[in-house]
Amino acid sequence: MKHISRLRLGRPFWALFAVMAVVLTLGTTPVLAAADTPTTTAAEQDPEAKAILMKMAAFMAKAPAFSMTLRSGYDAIQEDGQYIEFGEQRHILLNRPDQLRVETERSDGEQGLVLFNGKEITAFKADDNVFAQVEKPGTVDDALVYLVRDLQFTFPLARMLHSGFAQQMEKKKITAISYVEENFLFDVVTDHLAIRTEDVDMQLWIAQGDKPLPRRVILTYKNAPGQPQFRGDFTEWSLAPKIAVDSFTFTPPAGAEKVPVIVRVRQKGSIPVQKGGE
Amino acid sequence: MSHKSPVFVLFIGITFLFLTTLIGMAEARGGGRGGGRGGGGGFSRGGAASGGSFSSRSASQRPSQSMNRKAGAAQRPAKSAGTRENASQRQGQGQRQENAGERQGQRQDNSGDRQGNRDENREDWQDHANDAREDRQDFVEDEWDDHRYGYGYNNTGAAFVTGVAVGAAVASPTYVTTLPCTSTTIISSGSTTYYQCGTTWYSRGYQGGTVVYVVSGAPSGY
Repeated sequence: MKHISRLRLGRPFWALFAVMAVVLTLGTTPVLAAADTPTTTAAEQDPEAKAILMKMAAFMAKAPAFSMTLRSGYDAIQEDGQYIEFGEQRHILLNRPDQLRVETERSDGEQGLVLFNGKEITAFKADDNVFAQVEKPGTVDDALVYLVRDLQFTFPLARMLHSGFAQQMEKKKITAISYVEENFLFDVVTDHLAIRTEDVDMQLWIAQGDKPLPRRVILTYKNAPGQPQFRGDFTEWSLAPKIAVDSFTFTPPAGAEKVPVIVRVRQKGSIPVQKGGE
Repeated sequence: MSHKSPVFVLFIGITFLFLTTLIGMAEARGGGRGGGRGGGGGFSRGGAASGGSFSSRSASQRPSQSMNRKAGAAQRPAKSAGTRENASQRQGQGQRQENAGERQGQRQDNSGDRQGNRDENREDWQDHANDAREDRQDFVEDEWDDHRYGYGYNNTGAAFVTGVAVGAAVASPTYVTTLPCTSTTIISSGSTTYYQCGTTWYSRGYQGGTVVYVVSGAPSGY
Protein backbone atom coordinates (compact mmCIF):
# COMPACT_ATOMS: atom_id res chain seq x y z
CA MET A 1 0.00 0.00 0.00
CA LYS A 2 1.36 3.25 -1.07
CA HIS A 3 1.60 6.07 1.43
CA ILE A 4 0.91 9.50 0.19
CA SER A 5 4.00 11.41 0.92
CA ARG A 6 3.71 14.79 2.56
CA LEU A 7 4.64 17.55 0.23
CA ARG A 8 7.58 19.45 1.41
CA LEU A 9 7.69 23.09 0.49
CA GLY A 10 10.72 25.23 0.77
CA ARG A 11 11.12 28.79 1.99
CA PRO A 12 11.10 30.29 -1.51
CA PHE A 13 7.67 28.86 -2.16
CA TRP A 14 6.22 30.33 1.02
CA ALA A 15 7.71 33.70 0.16
CA LEU A 16 6.04 33.62 -3.25
CA PHE A 17 2.78 32.51 -1.68
CA ALA A 18 2.88 35.39 0.76
CA VAL A 19 3.53 37.93 -1.97
CA MET A 20 0.67 36.61 -4.09
CA ALA A 21 -1.67 36.69 -1.10
CA VAL A 22 -0.81 40.32 -0.50
CA VAL A 23 -1.39 41.03 -4.16
CA LEU A 24 -4.77 39.40 -4.18
CA THR A 25 -5.86 41.01 -0.96
CA LEU A 26 -4.57 44.53 -1.27
CA GLY A 27 -4.12 44.97 -4.96
CA THR A 28 -6.78 43.23 -6.94
CA THR A 29 -9.77 43.64 -4.69
CA PRO A 30 -9.92 47.43 -4.67
CA VAL A 31 -9.38 47.56 -8.39
CA LEU A 32 -12.16 45.13 -9.12
CA ALA A 33 -14.38 46.93 -6.69
CA ALA A 34 -13.71 50.11 -8.53
CA ALA A 35 -14.82 48.45 -11.70
CA ASP A 36 -18.17 47.33 -10.30
CA THR A 37 -19.08 50.00 -7.82
CA PRO A 38 -20.01 53.47 -8.89
CA THR A 39 -17.50 55.96 -7.74
CA THR A 40 -18.71 58.95 -5.83
CA THR A 41 -20.67 61.25 -8.05
CA ALA A 42 -22.66 63.00 -5.38
CA ALA A 43 -20.66 66.17 -5.54
CA GLU A 44 -19.86 66.09 -9.21
CA GLN A 45 -20.59 69.28 -11.07
CA ASP A 46 -19.70 68.59 -14.65
CA PRO A 47 -19.66 71.95 -16.41
CA GLU A 48 -20.16 70.32 -19.77
CA ALA A 49 -23.27 68.51 -18.59
CA LYS A 50 -24.56 71.69 -17.01
CA ALA A 51 -24.01 73.55 -20.26
CA ILE A 52 -25.97 70.93 -22.18
CA LEU A 53 -28.82 71.16 -19.71
CA MET A 54 -28.94 74.92 -19.84
CA LYS A 55 -28.70 74.94 -23.60
CA MET A 56 -31.77 72.73 -23.79
CA ALA A 57 -33.66 74.83 -21.28
CA ALA A 58 -32.83 78.05 -23.10
CA PHE A 59 -33.72 76.58 -26.46
CA MET A 60 -37.13 75.43 -25.28
CA ALA A 61 -37.78 78.71 -23.52
CA LYS A 62 -37.02 80.75 -26.61
CA ALA A 63 -38.86 78.61 -29.10
CA PRO A 64 -41.76 80.73 -30.32
CA ALA A 65 -43.86 77.66 -31.01
CA PHE A 66 -43.59 73.92 -30.91
CA SER A 67 -45.60 70.77 -30.77
CA MET A 68 -44.66 67.35 -29.48
CA THR A 69 -46.03 64.21 -27.93
CA LEU A 70 -45.18 63.26 -24.38
CA ARG A 71 -45.72 59.61 -23.63
CA SER A 72 -45.27 59.04 -19.95
CA GLY A 73 -45.55 56.39 -17.29
CA TYR A 74 -45.09 56.34 -13.59
CA ASP A 75 -44.92 53.94 -10.67
CA ALA A 76 -48.01 53.61 -8.57
CA ILE A 77 -46.82 51.66 -5.57
CA GLN A 78 -49.46 49.50 -4.05
CA GLU A 79 -49.84 48.84 -0.37
CA ASP A 80 -48.29 45.42 -0.66
CA GLY A 81 -45.28 46.90 -2.36
CA GLN A 82 -46.16 46.03 -5.88
CA TYR A 83 -45.28 48.58 -8.49
CA ILE A 84 -47.87 49.27 -11.10
CA GLU A 85 -47.23 51.54 -14.00
CA PHE A 86 -49.91 53.80 -15.33
CA GLY A 87 -49.43 55.78 -18.46
CA GLU A 88 -50.56 58.93 -20.17
CA GLN A 89 -50.05 60.49 -23.52
CA ARG A 90 -50.17 64.18 -24.22
CA HIS A 91 -50.14 66.01 -27.49
CA ILE A 92 -48.93 69.48 -26.74
CA LEU A 93 -49.15 72.49 -29.00
CA LEU A 94 -47.63 75.69 -27.68
CA ASN A 95 -47.67 79.03 -29.46
CA ARG A 96 -46.12 81.83 -27.49
CA PRO A 97 -46.96 84.10 -26.00
CA ASP A 98 -50.49 83.11 -25.18
CA GLN A 99 -51.77 79.93 -26.78
CA LEU A 100 -51.62 76.38 -25.51
CA ARG A 101 -53.40 73.15 -26.37
CA VAL A 102 -52.93 69.91 -24.47
CA GLU A 103 -54.76 66.76 -25.48
CA THR A 104 -54.47 64.02 -22.90
CA GLU A 105 -55.26 60.35 -23.00
CA ARG A 106 -54.71 58.15 -20.01
CA SER A 107 -53.77 54.53 -20.22
CA ASP A 108 -57.34 53.60 -19.31
CA GLY A 109 -58.61 55.54 -22.30
CA GLU A 110 -59.91 58.59 -20.47
CA GLN A 111 -59.50 61.65 -22.62
CA GLY A 112 -59.13 65.26 -21.71
CA LEU A 113 -58.37 68.58 -23.30
CA VAL A 114 -56.99 71.83 -21.96
CA LEU A 115 -57.00 74.99 -24.03
CA PHE A 116 -55.63 78.41 -23.31
CA ASN A 117 -56.23 81.32 -25.66
CA GLY A 118 -54.74 84.21 -23.77
CA LYS A 119 -58.02 85.06 -22.12
CA GLU A 120 -59.38 81.93 -20.54
CA ILE A 121 -58.54 78.36 -19.75
CA THR A 122 -60.91 75.66 -20.87
CA ALA A 123 -60.80 72.12 -19.56
CA PHE A 124 -62.87 69.40 -21.16
CA LYS A 125 -63.47 65.77 -20.18
CA ALA A 126 -64.72 63.78 -23.10
CA ASP A 127 -65.90 60.82 -21.07
CA ASP A 128 -68.14 62.95 -18.90
CA ASN A 129 -68.91 65.46 -21.65
CA VAL A 130 -68.19 68.15 -19.13
CA PHE A 131 -66.14 71.31 -19.47
CA ALA A 132 -65.08 74.16 -17.28
CA GLN A 133 -63.78 77.58 -18.15
CA VAL A 134 -61.80 80.02 -16.06
CA GLU A 135 -60.88 83.53 -17.04
CA LYS A 136 -57.14 83.91 -16.95
CA PRO A 137 -55.82 86.72 -19.10
CA GLY A 138 -52.10 86.46 -19.62
CA THR A 139 -49.39 84.40 -21.16
CA VAL A 140 -48.82 80.70 -21.44
CA ASP A 141 -46.47 81.02 -18.49
CA ASP A 142 -49.23 82.50 -16.38
CA ALA A 143 -51.62 79.79 -17.44
CA LEU A 144 -49.17 77.00 -16.68
CA VAL A 145 -48.53 78.16 -13.17
CA TYR A 146 -52.19 78.78 -12.59
CA LEU A 147 -53.14 75.35 -13.86
CA VAL A 148 -50.66 73.58 -11.64
CA ARG A 149 -50.67 75.72 -8.55
CA ASP A 150 -54.21 77.00 -8.28
CA LEU A 151 -56.32 74.61 -10.29
CA GLN A 152 -54.11 71.69 -9.23
CA PHE A 153 -54.19 70.10 -12.63
CA THR A 154 -51.94 67.17 -13.26
CA PHE A 155 -49.50 68.47 -15.81
CA PRO A 156 -46.24 66.52 -15.83
CA LEU A 157 -43.15 68.42 -16.79
CA ALA A 158 -45.13 71.63 -17.12
CA ARG A 159 -42.06 73.51 -16.07
CA MET A 160 -40.36 72.57 -19.30
CA LEU A 161 -42.96 74.55 -21.22
CA HIS A 162 -42.39 77.67 -19.18
CA SER A 163 -40.27 80.39 -20.73
CA GLY A 164 -38.43 80.70 -17.44
CA PHE A 165 -37.33 77.10 -17.54
CA ALA A 166 -33.66 78.00 -17.89
CA GLN A 167 -33.72 80.44 -15.01
CA GLN A 168 -35.59 77.96 -12.88
CA MET A 169 -32.99 75.33 -13.56
CA GLU A 170 -30.26 77.80 -12.66
CA LYS A 171 -32.09 78.57 -9.47
CA LYS A 172 -32.76 74.96 -8.66
CA LYS A 173 -30.27 73.54 -6.24
CA ILE A 174 -28.48 70.88 -8.22
CA THR A 175 -26.31 68.87 -5.91
CA ALA A 176 -24.68 66.93 -8.73
CA ILE A 177 -24.78 66.85 -12.48
CA SER A 178 -22.90 64.36 -14.60
CA TYR A 179 -22.50 63.34 -18.18
CA VAL A 180 -23.35 59.66 -18.50
CA GLU A 181 -22.78 58.87 -22.14
CA GLU A 182 -23.72 59.49 -25.70
CA ASN A 183 -26.84 57.58 -26.58
CA PHE A 184 -27.49 56.30 -30.07
CA LEU A 185 -30.88 54.71 -29.55
CA PHE A 186 -33.11 57.65 -30.38
CA ASP A 187 -33.90 59.25 -33.71
CA VAL A 188 -30.93 61.49 -33.10
CA VAL A 189 -27.81 61.13 -31.02
CA THR A 190 -28.47 62.35 -27.52
CA ASP A 191 -26.49 63.35 -24.49
CA HIS A 192 -27.48 61.42 -21.42
CA LEU A 193 -27.27 63.51 -18.27
CA ALA A 194 -27.71 62.56 -14.65
CA ILE A 195 -28.82 65.32 -12.34
CA ARG A 196 -29.37 65.19 -8.63
CA THR A 197 -31.29 67.58 -6.46
CA GLU A 198 -32.24 67.25 -2.84
CA ASP A 199 -35.38 65.29 -3.50
CA VAL A 200 -35.39 64.23 -7.13
CA ASP A 201 -32.85 62.46 -9.26
CA MET A 202 -33.24 63.26 -12.91
CA GLN A 203 -32.01 61.71 -16.07
CA LEU A 204 -32.33 63.54 -19.32
CA TRP A 205 -31.56 62.55 -22.87
CA ILE A 206 -31.06 65.68 -24.92
CA ALA A 207 -30.58 65.77 -28.67
CA GLN A 208 -27.21 66.87 -29.89
CA GLY A 209 -26.94 69.52 -32.55
CA ASP A 210 -28.69 72.80 -33.11
CA LYS A 211 -32.04 71.60 -31.80
CA PRO A 212 -31.27 70.42 -28.28
CA LEU A 213 -34.70 69.10 -27.45
CA PRO A 214 -35.31 66.44 -24.84
CA ARG A 215 -36.07 62.93 -25.97
CA ARG A 216 -36.51 61.23 -22.64
CA VAL A 217 -36.68 62.03 -18.97
CA ILE A 218 -36.73 59.92 -15.84
CA LEU A 219 -37.50 61.39 -12.47
CA THR A 220 -36.85 59.41 -9.32
CA TYR A 221 -38.46 60.68 -6.17
CA LYS A 222 -35.82 59.38 -3.90
CA ASN A 223 -37.26 60.67 -0.66
CA ALA A 224 -40.68 59.24 -1.33
CA PRO A 225 -41.56 55.81 -0.01
CA GLY A 226 -40.43 53.25 -2.50
CA GLN A 227 -38.69 55.88 -4.58
CA PRO A 228 -41.16 55.82 -7.44
CA GLN A 229 -40.21 56.96 -10.89
CA PHE A 230 -41.78 59.05 -13.59
CA ARG A 231 -40.67 58.32 -17.12
CA GLY A 232 -41.46 60.37 -20.17
CA ASP A 233 -40.60 60.11 -23.84
CA PHE A 234 -40.81 63.10 -26.14
CA THR A 235 -41.59 62.39 -29.75
CA GLU A 236 -42.91 64.13 -32.84
CA TRP A 237 -41.17 67.37 -32.11
CA SER A 238 -42.01 70.20 -34.47
CA LEU A 239 -40.72 73.73 -34.18
CA ALA A 240 -43.05 74.89 -36.94
CA PRO A 241 -46.29 73.22 -35.93
CA LYS A 242 -49.46 73.42 -37.92
CA ILE A 243 -51.83 75.74 -36.14
CA ALA A 244 -55.41 75.59 -37.26
CA VAL A 245 -57.84 78.43 -36.84
CA ASP A 246 -59.63 76.56 -34.09
CA SER A 247 -56.60 75.01 -32.41
CA PHE A 248 -57.12 77.11 -29.33
CA THR A 249 -60.84 77.62 -29.54
CA PHE A 250 -63.26 75.41 -27.69
CA THR A 251 -66.55 74.44 -29.25
CA PRO A 252 -68.62 72.43 -26.79
CA PRO A 253 -69.90 69.14 -28.16
CA ALA A 254 -73.62 68.57 -28.21
CA GLY A 255 -74.96 68.07 -24.74
CA ALA A 256 -71.78 69.15 -23.01
CA GLU A 257 -72.36 70.54 -19.55
CA LYS A 258 -70.48 73.53 -18.30
CA VAL A 259 -69.55 73.12 -14.67
CA PRO A 260 -67.78 75.34 -12.16
CA VAL A 261 -64.14 74.75 -11.46
CA ILE A 262 -62.91 74.43 -7.93
CA VAL A 263 -60.07 76.83 -7.33
CA ARG A 264 -57.64 76.69 -4.51
CA VAL A 265 -57.32 80.20 -3.23
CA ARG A 266 -54.58 81.71 -1.21
CA GLN A 267 -55.70 83.06 2.07
CA LYS A 268 -54.52 83.18 5.59
CA GLY A 269 -56.41 81.66 8.40
CA SER A 270 -57.40 78.20 9.30
CA ILE A 271 -60.27 77.36 7.08
CA PRO A 272 -60.23 73.60 6.96
CA VAL A 273 -60.10 71.83 3.68
CA GLN A 274 -63.41 70.19 3.13
CA LYS A 275 -63.17 67.05 1.16
CA GLY A 276 -65.79 64.54 1.92
CA GLY A 277 -66.58 61.07 0.82
CA GLU A 278 -63.32 59.37 1.58
CA MET B 1 15.41 20.27 -6.87
CA SER B 2 17.13 23.58 -6.98
CA HIS B 3 16.12 26.38 -4.64
CA LYS B 4 15.42 29.83 -6.08
CA SER B 5 16.81 32.74 -4.21
CA PRO B 6 14.39 34.85 -2.11
CA VAL B 7 15.27 37.94 -4.19
CA PHE B 8 14.18 36.17 -7.36
CA VAL B 9 10.90 35.14 -5.78
CA LEU B 10 10.29 38.64 -4.55
CA PHE B 11 10.92 39.97 -8.05
CA ILE B 12 8.34 37.60 -9.49
CA GLY B 13 5.81 38.69 -6.88
CA ILE B 14 6.28 42.40 -7.51
CA THR B 15 5.99 41.82 -11.25
CA PHE B 16 2.75 39.94 -10.68
CA LEU B 17 1.46 42.76 -8.52
CA PHE B 18 2.28 45.35 -11.18
CA LEU B 19 0.66 43.41 -13.99
CA THR B 20 -2.44 42.62 -11.98
CA THR B 21 -2.91 46.26 -11.08
CA LEU B 22 -2.58 47.34 -14.69
CA ILE B 23 -5.17 44.82 -15.81
CA GLY B 24 -7.49 45.88 -13.05
CA MET B 25 -7.21 49.53 -13.94
CA ALA B 26 -7.99 48.76 -17.55
CA GLU B 27 -11.10 46.87 -16.52
CA ALA B 28 -12.16 49.64 -14.21
CA ARG B 29 -12.02 52.21 -16.94
CA GLY B 30 -14.15 49.87 -18.83
CA GLY B 31 -14.09 49.23 -22.46
CA GLY B 32 -17.59 48.69 -23.63
CA ARG B 33 -18.13 52.31 -24.39
CA GLY B 34 -18.65 51.41 -27.97
CA GLY B 35 -18.27 54.32 -30.28
CA GLY B 36 -20.01 56.62 -27.85
CA ARG B 37 -18.70 58.99 -25.34
CA GLY B 38 -18.25 57.78 -21.81
CA GLY B 39 -19.02 60.09 -19.00
CA GLY B 40 -16.33 58.78 -16.73
CA GLY B 41 -18.59 59.19 -13.76
CA GLY B 42 -18.25 55.57 -12.70
CA PHE B 43 -21.84 54.70 -13.50
CA SER B 44 -22.59 51.05 -13.12
CA ARG B 45 -24.75 49.31 -15.64
CA GLY B 46 -25.74 46.69 -13.12
CA GLY B 47 -28.50 46.64 -10.61
CA ALA B 48 -31.80 45.02 -9.91
CA ALA B 49 -33.50 46.42 -12.97
CA SER B 50 -30.67 46.06 -15.39
CA GLY B 51 -31.98 42.83 -16.86
CA GLY B 52 -35.39 44.21 -17.61
CA SER B 53 -36.90 40.91 -16.62
CA PHE B 54 -40.48 40.47 -15.49
CA SER B 55 -39.23 38.52 -12.55
CA SER B 56 -36.67 39.67 -10.10
CA ARG B 57 -35.69 39.50 -6.54
CA SER B 58 -38.71 40.31 -4.43
CA ALA B 59 -39.05 43.93 -3.61
CA SER B 60 -38.33 45.16 -0.18
CA GLN B 61 -41.12 46.34 2.00
CA ARG B 62 -42.73 49.24 0.38
CA PRO B 63 -44.78 52.11 1.51
CA SER B 64 -48.16 52.23 2.75
CA GLN B 65 -50.82 53.30 0.46
CA SER B 66 -54.28 52.20 1.23
CA MET B 67 -55.16 49.53 -1.27
CA ASN B 68 -58.70 49.30 -0.10
CA ARG B 69 -59.18 52.86 0.87
CA LYS B 70 -62.04 53.31 -1.49
CA ALA B 71 -63.18 49.76 -1.73
CA GLY B 72 -66.88 49.68 -2.09
CA ALA B 73 -67.09 53.28 -3.12
CA ALA B 74 -70.01 53.98 -5.28
CA GLN B 75 -69.58 54.28 -8.96
CA ARG B 76 -70.36 57.02 -11.29
CA PRO B 77 -73.94 57.32 -12.33
CA ALA B 78 -75.39 55.68 -15.34
CA LYS B 79 -75.25 58.84 -17.36
CA SER B 80 -71.51 58.96 -17.03
CA ALA B 81 -71.26 55.35 -17.96
CA GLY B 82 -73.20 56.05 -21.09
CA THR B 83 -70.93 58.80 -22.20
CA ARG B 84 -68.03 56.59 -21.32
CA GLU B 85 -69.31 54.03 -23.76
CA ASN B 86 -69.28 56.66 -26.45
CA ALA B 87 -65.71 57.47 -25.62
CA SER B 88 -64.69 53.88 -25.92
CA GLN B 89 -66.42 53.58 -29.25
CA ARG B 90 -64.36 56.48 -30.45
CA GLN B 91 -61.26 54.66 -29.43
CA GLY B 92 -62.24 51.78 -31.64
CA GLN B 93 -60.07 49.21 -29.92
CA GLY B 94 -61.65 45.99 -28.95
CA GLN B 95 -59.87 45.48 -25.70
CA ARG B 96 -60.56 48.94 -24.48
CA GLN B 97 -64.15 48.69 -25.44
CA GLU B 98 -64.45 45.46 -23.57
CA ASN B 99 -62.99 47.05 -20.47
CA ALA B 100 -65.26 50.02 -20.77
CA GLY B 101 -68.19 47.69 -21.14
CA GLU B 102 -67.20 45.84 -18.02
CA ARG B 103 -67.01 49.06 -16.13
CA GLN B 104 -70.37 50.13 -17.38
CA GLY B 105 -71.77 46.85 -16.21
CA GLN B 106 -70.40 47.45 -12.81
CA ARG B 107 -71.75 50.93 -12.64
CA GLN B 108 -75.19 49.85 -13.54
CA ASP B 109 -75.28 46.63 -11.63
CA ASN B 110 -73.67 46.48 -8.26
CA SER B 111 -74.16 42.77 -7.85
CA GLY B 112 -71.46 40.91 -6.00
CA ASP B 113 -70.67 38.47 -8.73
CA ARG B 114 -67.27 37.72 -10.02
CA GLN B 115 -67.41 40.34 -12.69
CA GLY B 116 -68.37 42.92 -10.17
CA ASN B 117 -65.47 42.06 -7.95
CA ARG B 118 -63.09 42.27 -10.81
CA ASP B 119 -64.35 45.66 -11.78
CA GLU B 120 -64.29 46.86 -8.23
CA ASN B 121 -60.66 46.00 -8.04
CA ARG B 122 -60.07 47.92 -11.19
CA GLU B 123 -61.86 50.91 -9.75
CA ASP B 124 -59.70 50.69 -6.67
CA TRP B 125 -56.62 50.67 -8.78
CA GLN B 126 -57.86 53.63 -10.70
CA ASP B 127 -58.38 55.49 -7.49
CA HIS B 128 -54.84 54.60 -6.66
CA ALA B 129 -53.75 55.92 -9.97
CA ASN B 130 -55.45 59.18 -9.26
CA ASP B 131 -53.83 59.40 -5.88
CA ALA B 132 -50.47 58.67 -7.39
CA ARG B 133 -50.98 61.28 -10.03
CA GLU B 134 -51.70 63.85 -7.39
CA ASP B 135 -48.67 62.82 -5.42
CA ARG B 136 -46.50 62.89 -8.46
CA GLN B 137 -47.69 66.31 -9.43
CA ASP B 138 -46.80 67.54 -6.00
CA PHE B 139 -43.32 66.23 -6.55
CA VAL B 140 -42.92 67.50 -10.04
CA GLU B 141 -44.19 70.98 -9.54
CA ASP B 142 -43.62 71.59 -5.88
CA GLU B 143 -41.47 74.59 -6.45
CA TRP B 144 -44.21 76.41 -8.19
CA ASP B 145 -45.87 76.44 -4.83
CA ASP B 146 -43.05 78.49 -3.43
CA HIS B 147 -45.11 81.53 -4.23
CA ARG B 148 -47.54 80.54 -1.56
CA TYR B 149 -45.23 81.69 1.14
CA GLY B 150 -44.74 85.02 -0.49
CA TYR B 151 -48.45 85.45 -0.50
CA GLY B 152 -48.87 84.26 3.03
CA TYR B 153 -50.55 81.12 1.90
CA ASN B 154 -50.10 77.83 3.62
CA ASN B 155 -51.47 74.38 3.27
CA THR B 156 -53.33 74.28 6.51
CA GLY B 157 -55.11 77.43 5.58
CA ALA B 158 -56.00 76.26 2.12
CA ALA B 159 -59.56 76.47 1.09
CA PHE B 160 -61.31 75.23 -1.95
CA VAL B 161 -63.61 77.75 -3.38
CA THR B 162 -65.90 77.29 -6.29
CA GLY B 163 -66.24 79.90 -8.89
CA VAL B 164 -66.33 80.17 -12.60
CA ALA B 165 -64.07 83.16 -12.44
CA VAL B 166 -60.94 83.50 -10.42
CA GLY B 167 -61.61 84.76 -7.00
CA ALA B 168 -65.34 84.43 -7.31
CA ALA B 169 -65.52 82.96 -3.88
CA VAL B 170 -68.81 81.29 -3.25
CA ALA B 171 -68.22 78.87 -0.43
CA SER B 172 -65.90 76.14 0.66
CA PRO B 173 -67.58 73.21 -0.99
CA THR B 174 -67.69 69.63 0.03
CA TYR B 175 -67.11 67.33 -2.86
CA VAL B 176 -66.53 63.69 -3.55
CA THR B 177 -64.68 62.04 -6.36
CA THR B 178 -67.26 59.28 -6.61
CA LEU B 179 -70.86 59.35 -5.56
CA PRO B 180 -71.54 57.59 -2.27
CA CYS B 181 -74.48 55.64 -3.57
CA THR B 182 -75.32 53.34 -6.39
CA SER B 183 -78.96 54.12 -7.02
CA THR B 184 -78.59 57.63 -8.19
CA THR B 185 -81.45 59.87 -9.15
CA ILE B 186 -80.40 62.12 -11.96
CA ILE B 187 -82.22 65.35 -12.59
CA SER B 188 -81.44 67.85 -15.27
CA SER B 189 -82.44 71.31 -14.22
CA GLY B 190 -81.61 74.04 -16.63
CA SER B 191 -78.06 73.45 -17.73
CA THR B 192 -77.07 71.58 -14.60
CA THR B 193 -77.31 67.89 -13.85
CA TYR B 194 -78.07 66.93 -10.28
CA TYR B 195 -77.47 63.60 -8.60
CA GLN B 196 -79.29 62.50 -5.47
CA CYS B 197 -77.91 60.15 -2.87
CA GLY B 198 -80.30 59.81 0.04
CA THR B 199 -81.17 63.34 0.99
CA THR B 200 -78.01 64.85 -0.45
CA TRP B 201 -77.84 66.43 -3.85
CA TYR B 202 -74.72 66.81 -5.91
CA SER B 203 -73.78 68.64 -9.04
CA ARG B 204 -70.64 68.21 -11.00
CA GLY B 205 -67.55 70.34 -10.78
CA TYR B 206 -63.98 70.32 -12.03
CA GLN B 207 -61.19 69.86 -9.60
CA GLY B 208 -57.59 68.97 -10.20
CA GLY B 209 -58.27 68.01 -13.77
CA THR B 210 -61.02 65.56 -12.91
CA VAL B 211 -64.75 65.72 -12.56
CA VAL B 212 -65.99 65.67 -8.98
CA TYR B 213 -69.40 65.79 -7.34
CA VAL B 214 -70.02 68.85 -5.23
CA VAL B 215 -72.65 68.86 -2.53
CA SER B 216 -75.28 71.31 -3.63
CA GLY B 217 -78.79 72.35 -2.92
CA ALA B 218 -81.71 70.49 -4.42
CA PRO B 219 -82.82 71.52 -7.86
CA SER B 220 -85.90 73.65 -8.03
CA GLY B 221 -89.03 71.63 -7.41
CA TYR B 222 -87.31 69.02 -5.24
